Amino acid sequence: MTFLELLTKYLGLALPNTPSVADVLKAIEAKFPDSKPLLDVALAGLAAPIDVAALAAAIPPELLSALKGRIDQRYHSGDAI
Amino acid sequence: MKAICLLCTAALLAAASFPALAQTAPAQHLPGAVKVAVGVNGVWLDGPVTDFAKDAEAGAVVSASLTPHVSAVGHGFYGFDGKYVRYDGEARVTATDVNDPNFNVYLGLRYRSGSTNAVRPSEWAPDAGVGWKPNPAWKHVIIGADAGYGLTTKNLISYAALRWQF
Repeated sequence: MTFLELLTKYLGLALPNTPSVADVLKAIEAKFPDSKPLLDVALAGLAAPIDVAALAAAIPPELLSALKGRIDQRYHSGDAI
Repeated sequence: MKAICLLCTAALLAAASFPALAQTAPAQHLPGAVKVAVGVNGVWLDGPVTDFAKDAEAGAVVSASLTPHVSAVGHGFYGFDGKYVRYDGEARVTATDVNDPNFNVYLGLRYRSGSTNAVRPSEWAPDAGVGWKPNPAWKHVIIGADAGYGLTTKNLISYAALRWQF
């Protein structure tokens, strides 16, 4: 899983028919050629595979549980109002 | 106001007396993020042109939690004094404290309409509200409040709500 896929999955950012981040970066590079080295690093970082299991193992269990609870919070009492 | 108090009391007694209702309601089979609730409102309308100042309503709410912070909600309510039907659909941004998931606030944008001049014309209305499950032991009982400002009529429709959520 890449960092971008991680963001998309866990923060609910998946939106159909929107340009990918890579496409946006390439458009910026076309307009500002001097930014290419920086954008290449950004693109490589986004595309780099992430070991989610190793990342999760490095986070303290209490913090991971709190984060998961916040991200997974799908129940809203206000939805009934 | 008396009608509102009687309706709220009746709804509370019904909620305490029929826990089995939640076990057999069709909403039991909906995906976990889709909820159905029934309830009553005390509603107030305030604006440049009003046919009623306050009323008591009964109706239902269907909601879908699309992401942890975005919900789609639809309402349909009948006003007893004004004999109208008021309905809307909206998208909301919600915030719930992870340490107290029973308390929730939201900002939304709804498209509302109704059956009489008092709750028409159809219009967009930004809104804000709060929902609270006052006692976790009463897992189906939710109270809250909402206010929506019509961009066309400049009417503010606000209500205090009592819900039984399946």
